Amino acid sequence: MFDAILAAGRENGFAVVEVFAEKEEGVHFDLSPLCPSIHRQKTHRLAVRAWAERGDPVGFSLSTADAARARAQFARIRPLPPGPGKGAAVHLPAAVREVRCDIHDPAFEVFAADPVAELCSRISESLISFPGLKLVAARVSKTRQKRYLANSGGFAGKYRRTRFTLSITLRLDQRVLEVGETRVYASGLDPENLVARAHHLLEAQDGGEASFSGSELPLLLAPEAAVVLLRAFSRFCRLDLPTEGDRWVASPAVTIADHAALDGQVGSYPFDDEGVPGGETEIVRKGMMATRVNNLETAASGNRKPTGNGVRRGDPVFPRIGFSNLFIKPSVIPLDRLLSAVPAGVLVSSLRPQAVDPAIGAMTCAACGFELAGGEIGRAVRFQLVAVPRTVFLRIERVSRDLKFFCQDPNLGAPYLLAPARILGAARLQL
Amino acid sequence: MAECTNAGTVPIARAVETGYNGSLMKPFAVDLIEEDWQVVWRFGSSGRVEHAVHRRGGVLRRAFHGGFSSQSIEVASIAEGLKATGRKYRLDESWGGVIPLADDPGPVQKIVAPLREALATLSQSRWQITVRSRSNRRLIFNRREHPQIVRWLHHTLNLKLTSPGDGRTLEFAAGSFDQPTFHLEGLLARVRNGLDAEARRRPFGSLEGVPVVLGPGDGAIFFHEVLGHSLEADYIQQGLSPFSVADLGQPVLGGEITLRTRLAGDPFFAHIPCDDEGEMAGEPVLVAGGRLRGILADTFTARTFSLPGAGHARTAGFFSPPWPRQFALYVDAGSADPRDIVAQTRRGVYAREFGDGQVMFGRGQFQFVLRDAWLIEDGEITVPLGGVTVAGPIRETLRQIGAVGNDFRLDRGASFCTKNGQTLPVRVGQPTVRIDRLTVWEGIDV
Repeated sequence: MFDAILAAGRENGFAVVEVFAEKEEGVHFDLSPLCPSIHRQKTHRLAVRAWAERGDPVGFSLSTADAARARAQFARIRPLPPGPGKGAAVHLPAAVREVRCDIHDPAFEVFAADPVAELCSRISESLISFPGLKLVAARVSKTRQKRYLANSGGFAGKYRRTRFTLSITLRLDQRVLEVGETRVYASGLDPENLVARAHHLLEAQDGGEASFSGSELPLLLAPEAAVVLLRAFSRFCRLDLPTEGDRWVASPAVTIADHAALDGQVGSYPFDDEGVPGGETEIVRKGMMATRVNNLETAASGNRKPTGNGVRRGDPVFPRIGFSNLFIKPSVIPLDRLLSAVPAGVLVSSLRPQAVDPAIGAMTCAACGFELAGGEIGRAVRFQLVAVPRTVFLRIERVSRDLKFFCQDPNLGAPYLLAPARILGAARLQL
Repeated sequence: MAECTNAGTVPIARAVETGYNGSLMKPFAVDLIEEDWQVVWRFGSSGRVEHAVHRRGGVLRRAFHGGFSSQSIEVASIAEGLKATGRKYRLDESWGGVIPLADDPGPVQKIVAPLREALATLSQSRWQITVRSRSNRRLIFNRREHPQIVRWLHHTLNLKLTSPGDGRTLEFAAGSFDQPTFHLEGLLARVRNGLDAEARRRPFGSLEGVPVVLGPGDGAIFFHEVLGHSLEADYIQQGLSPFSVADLGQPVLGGEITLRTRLAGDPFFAHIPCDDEGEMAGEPVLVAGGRLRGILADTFTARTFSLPGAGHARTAGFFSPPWPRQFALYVDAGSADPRDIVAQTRRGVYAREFGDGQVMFGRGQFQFVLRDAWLIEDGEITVPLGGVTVAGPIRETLRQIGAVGNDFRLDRGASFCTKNGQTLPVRVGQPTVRIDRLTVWEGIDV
């Protein structure tokens, strides 16, 4: 079928044609006590990108992979007038390079009502350990994607991947919080841990306003707070966005990588949505900017080697630059050693961005956490944290060995980070 | 490990015990068959052009019998959807439609040519123009004898300017329904004003408890975010909203202000007679004289709360079940002269362009971006502040409506709403409105 579509493109005057198809099936369980529901979906998309001899590509996407409809659509669209670009078409891969990547759970078919009920029981049982914590809603879903990519240069590849998501909304007194996790394997869902983390965060949010004094304070950022800063920093890791020329972008303790071939991670793929093999790109190496990720178009115009980061996340036809699994590399230092290095400081449990000042690029976040003293966790506190995303990692002194991932599209991961923060006010810190 | 959203603390709204028992609610079923067609043109300052056509169709079958069971299946066309569901409907000539911006680049290049010429001289920034035409058609079968037909055509033009040094962006958008006409002179004037304001903006840190005057038209996005989402019945049912059904009949807005969900003659509703469950919206007045008259409910929540009508179920597409969502929100004109509203403000903020907002139900708070804000000093609009964020507690802020102007205007036709990851076009309109107390921060929401 793909051959027929590729041929139809050539017949209509296009020199290079690429075909991408995705079939997705999923089941979503909403276990709300008010109205339980189950939704099944089966969707499929066909996306075609085509180039003339020179110039920019055109494309289309259709429901169902149907050669006849694709042929009819080819007959309607026209190659664009030759433009300045020679196009990324020249760089399309011609063959699949095998990259092993464990991203499919064979138990997908059998994951249905019984395992979902089992997850609910585990949630209910774990709530017993946290008096006052109540379940408001729970959602479980499974999806499987089958993806196919072919181009007129000879590339033809396919893979499939699974995702299982558990999301729960909990209430503690007057506070409500939704937490969730997504895994490649159903067996990786951990409701007990999710409930415990939610309780920890709800307690942090209950803290009083902080009252800092002095000029500086050690800050220990938990992984789920650190990934908020990583997300803000990530725009500087892309080749298509303007950046300033400094090569030192973080402290020597920080190495940031994008790795598409990590087994069992939800962001992984054997090849990106243009056929470039997934792999590891060290973006920041011991504090120095090394390689910014790209797609074929930006790689061609910047005269760089493709990094395999062309993804069709928002646009099915034109792959944009996206991350697979973006993370700060862990060290070998255990967390308790970092804790004991903080005679008096703050553990930041969560960050919520509030505003960015475009003039200086500073981001203000609402922060919750706990006071730290002599390696022990004390009272819960709330404060504001100001950070300039471009330079936030320059002050990191140490990172721990506990790497944790959060599927926030993209999949982001970080260990604990220790950094000194400047005290700007009683409840205001700056990294 | 865990990922966290919606962190916060809020007093839970007064819950109303309905004694609801799902097993007693009468069963119902809805089939929605959809065809969607989008044409996108994108022009960049580098000379790059992108053109894509997206065609999508599918079926959403949904039934309630003590709980919901639903299924989404992708199909190539409405005809295939009818076959898949066993439904009967004659697709005659009136059903078809040609999307005005099709595959020939000529018409769209003619539309954007004046804009491209002007941008070449206006700014050093990189720019990107995206023109999108979307045609969506839905056949909705429910308990009624005949299916409901919903059709809409939406054209948008989005302009993004990115400064070469630090990557800061300015965005402007315009839209229309039925025909792809964009008021380019008005758009260019907004661009010139925006660039001028950026160049002259004055840093200010933050302003606590100051009046904010929202310009007419797009300013109603504030009410969409803060009040509209709070009145969506699923949030009320889950106990997340700061409002409850017990607020019906009670004063919820300051002043004698009236909000409605439908406006006769608005082209947005030209071919939208019902919601995505095929239900007609009843009374369009949501708030009358400051008192709450309705809640935005779908069939299930309307029955749960024993409301007189539903009519607010929307889905972004066949791939997802509908939820209670807004189509449109309009603030009726008041009696104040908008010039007097500004003149009577000693120190505050005036907003000309608007961005996104969000409600944090966990905290009972909202945040909202004003993309182009100006300082008001002694009754005069003086210096630009650039993009700012306003925030406040939901219920208290809505009681702070200080003045409503007589200059009602519809939005620019490019308003969108995202809920649970699903984005849909929406419509808003209002006159100039002053909110008497808000916190204003420098910088825009991330």
